[in-house]
Amino acid sequence: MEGKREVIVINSKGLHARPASMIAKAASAYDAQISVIRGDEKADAKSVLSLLILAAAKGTSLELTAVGNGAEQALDELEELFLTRFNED
Amino acid sequence: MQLLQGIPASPGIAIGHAVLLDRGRLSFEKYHISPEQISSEQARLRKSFQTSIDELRALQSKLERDGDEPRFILEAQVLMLQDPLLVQGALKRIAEERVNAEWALRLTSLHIREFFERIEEAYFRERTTDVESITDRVMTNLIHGETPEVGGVIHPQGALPVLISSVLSPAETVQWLSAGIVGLAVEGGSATSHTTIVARSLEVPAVMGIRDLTNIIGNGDRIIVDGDTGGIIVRPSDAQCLAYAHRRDADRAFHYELRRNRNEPACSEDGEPVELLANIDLPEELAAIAECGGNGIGLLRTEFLFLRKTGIPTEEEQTRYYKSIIQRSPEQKVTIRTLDIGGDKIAGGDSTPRALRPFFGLRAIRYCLKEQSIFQTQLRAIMRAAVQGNVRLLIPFISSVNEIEQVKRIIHETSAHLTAEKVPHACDLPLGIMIELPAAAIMAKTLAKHVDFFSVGTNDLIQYTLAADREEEEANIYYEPLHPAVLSLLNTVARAGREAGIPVGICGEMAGVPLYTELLFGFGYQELSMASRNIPVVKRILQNLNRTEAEGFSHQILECDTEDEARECLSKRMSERFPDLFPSPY
Repeated sequence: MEGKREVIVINSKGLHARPASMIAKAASAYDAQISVIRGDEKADAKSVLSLLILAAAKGTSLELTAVGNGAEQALDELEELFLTRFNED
Repeated sequence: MQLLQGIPASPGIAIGHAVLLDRGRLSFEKYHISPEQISSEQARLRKSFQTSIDELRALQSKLERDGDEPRFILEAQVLMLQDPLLVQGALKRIAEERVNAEWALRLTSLHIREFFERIEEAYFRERTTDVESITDRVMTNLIHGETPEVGGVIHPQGALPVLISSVLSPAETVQWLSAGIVGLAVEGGSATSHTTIVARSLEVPAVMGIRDLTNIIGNGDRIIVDGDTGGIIVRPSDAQCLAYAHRRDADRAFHYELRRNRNEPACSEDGEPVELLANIDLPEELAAIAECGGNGIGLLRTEFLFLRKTGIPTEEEQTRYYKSIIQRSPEQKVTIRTLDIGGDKIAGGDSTPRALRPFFGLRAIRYCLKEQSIFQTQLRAIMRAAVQGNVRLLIPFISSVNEIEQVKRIIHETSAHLTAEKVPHACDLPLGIMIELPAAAIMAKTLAKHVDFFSVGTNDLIQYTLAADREEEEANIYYEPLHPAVLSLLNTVARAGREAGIPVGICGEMAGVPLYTELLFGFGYQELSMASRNIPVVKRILQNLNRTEAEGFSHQILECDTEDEARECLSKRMSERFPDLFPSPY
């Protein structure tokens, strides 16, 4: 299984510690290998640190990719987090 | 013996031995390993990560009753301790580079730090401090087997540990304070930093802002921390220790005894009630209010929310924050003061929310009326949170009726928007103003027609009235609460409130000073809001006062031509009436 999504960071503070933690926590529940890509930088969605290193501020567009078991479902869940602004604004 | 002066941050006296928090100086051995050692070295590293996670989880569970923020900090650190970039990275280095666990950990951490340092945005770049903090923890566990507990290993047997540090993160503060530290002295920080608040809520004496401290004091040195005055005595004499121990014990016994009045009503001997409320900055302080018998919150400062490095808080964040405080104060008054800082302080590096010194610029309501979107967001959040509870809105730094009119218009519009969006909210919260500018005090009678209550900020009122700057050595001698001009203004404001039939209170320092209780009661103040710790002693005095007598006495003080005369008159009367609280000056 394999999938891909485009998302935009719309919460006002960007992917700071709290949203990054939410993504890593959600992603870690899946077997699939999930990445968050910004331009030519690729972050492991299960790693808070690599998500923070992306330094994605509000307005940044990102690509989510997933390969393996539960890929589609994982992408749905992560996309939902972005769309609901990580419960922040 | 050496005397140092810092900022008094949390009251009380601590006498003990210095425990230096020696950060970043963990030395470890570096060596290469043989292929046979790889798996045992990896196991050692894994175990240290697990121990570190366990430690943070244990710490988290101790935090049950505390706020959201410290718990989240720990939560994020636990996630980082499981982070593949760090964990897998270090394990891989052991195998590929054949280095010992400590070395592999350090190299991996440095590698991650390089990525962070390349980031332009300050917020993201600064997360590198989290990486350092967790690396230190794992490293300590690798070297010692576990992070040493304060209670045992570090300090000399039987001595009480006083923590000395250059800086202290909120997570560390919580950890060390709940581990049995009796006092705290820190090079950085201020009277209003997060560390201070945590120390105050756990009632651990603390002094902040002592320059060069860690170079002057050695591990195990005897030290006295005087959280009342901000003094530090390094290597005190036996006589000094005895004198301070006496003061400390007397102080403790005194407060313990006083707090037994927590369930008694706050009213005078002849039944005139005065609400004794608390001034707070953070939810962590709520427990202390109940413990001291406070009737609610007379001043909730909101500056903290706006000073975090993560930027201006969103409406949702603010709503959650206010709600958490309101829900934990059922049936009690919660007076929320809108933002009281200047634009220069918002979301920046400055950790001092409210300058203690007089400031004439674009501050408080002046700033909010200029940056209306920030003000509106705060109002929306307060109104949304206030659907339950007994919330009042308090506007700082008002100097004219015009400003009140503008504030009312904005409140009205904000409420209309919320209604249009079908968002549940409280639409007619009692609206009060801070009386802290002489202009407001002088025209209190007029202002009283336009608002629901007054709260006098005596600190600023005194500074602005007497052109006295408490921070300025040359000018702080002019700061005098008993100056006839100040007393006259206090009387004017109380009378204006009484005549208009609106409650008048005080939320400045004067409210919590027992020497002034009868005077303020005599003027007719119905609410006194102070640090929780002072509530029991003020209540004790109040319970022995008589309305008519206090009125007569306050008039007598008003007649004094000089502050010296007023002070002498007050001290004499108080030491006669309450000899146990006011040792006679004669």
